[in-house]
Amino acid sequence: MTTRKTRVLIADDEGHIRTLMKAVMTGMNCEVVGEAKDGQEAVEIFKKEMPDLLLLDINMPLKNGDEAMEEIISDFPDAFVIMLTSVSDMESVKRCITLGAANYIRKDTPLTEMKKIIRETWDTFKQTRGEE
Amino acid sequence: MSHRYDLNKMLEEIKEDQQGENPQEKEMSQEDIKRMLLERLNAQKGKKT
Repeated sequence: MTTRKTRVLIADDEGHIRTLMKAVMTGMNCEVVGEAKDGQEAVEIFKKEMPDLLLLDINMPLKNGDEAMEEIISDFPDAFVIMLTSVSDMESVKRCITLGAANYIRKDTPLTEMKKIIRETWDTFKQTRGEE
Repeated sequence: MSHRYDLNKMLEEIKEDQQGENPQEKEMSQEDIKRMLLERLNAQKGKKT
C-alpha cells in the first residue's frame, strides 16, 4: 500500500519565504501543490487544488491572510490552515485562532521547532478527523 | 538655556505608559500562542461533553 503525500499550498508574498518553506515541506515528505503570492491567489489555488494543508502569511497584497482564511473556512470548514507570519500581536493571533486556524507560527521560530509544530498540529488534526 | 530633569517624574511617566499599554497590541511568544490554542482545545472538549 502506498501512502499519499500530504499536499501543501504555501501562501506568502515574499519569494524567499516560499522557497524556504517549499524546501522545508518537501523535506517533510510533503508535496507542494501550489504557491500563492497574495491572499486572493491563495483562495483561488486552494479551491482548485484542495490541499491538505495551507501555510498562510497574514500581510499580503490584494487580500490579507486572515481574510483569505475566513473565506476558505466559510466554504470548507474542514480546511487545515496554519498561519506562518511575523505578525504576533494578541489581537491578530486571537482573530486567526477564533476564525479556525489550526496553529499560528511566528516566522522567527527556529526551523526545527517550526517543523515540530507543523507535524504535531497535523497529527492532532488527523486524530480529530478520525484518521490514522 | 539649560533644562532640568526630574528623574522621579520621568520614572512615574514611564510607569504610567507601561500600565496604559493596550494588551491587544502585546506581542505574543510561541509559548503564549500554544497556551491560547490549548485553551481553545479545552473549551471545545468542554462543549462536547
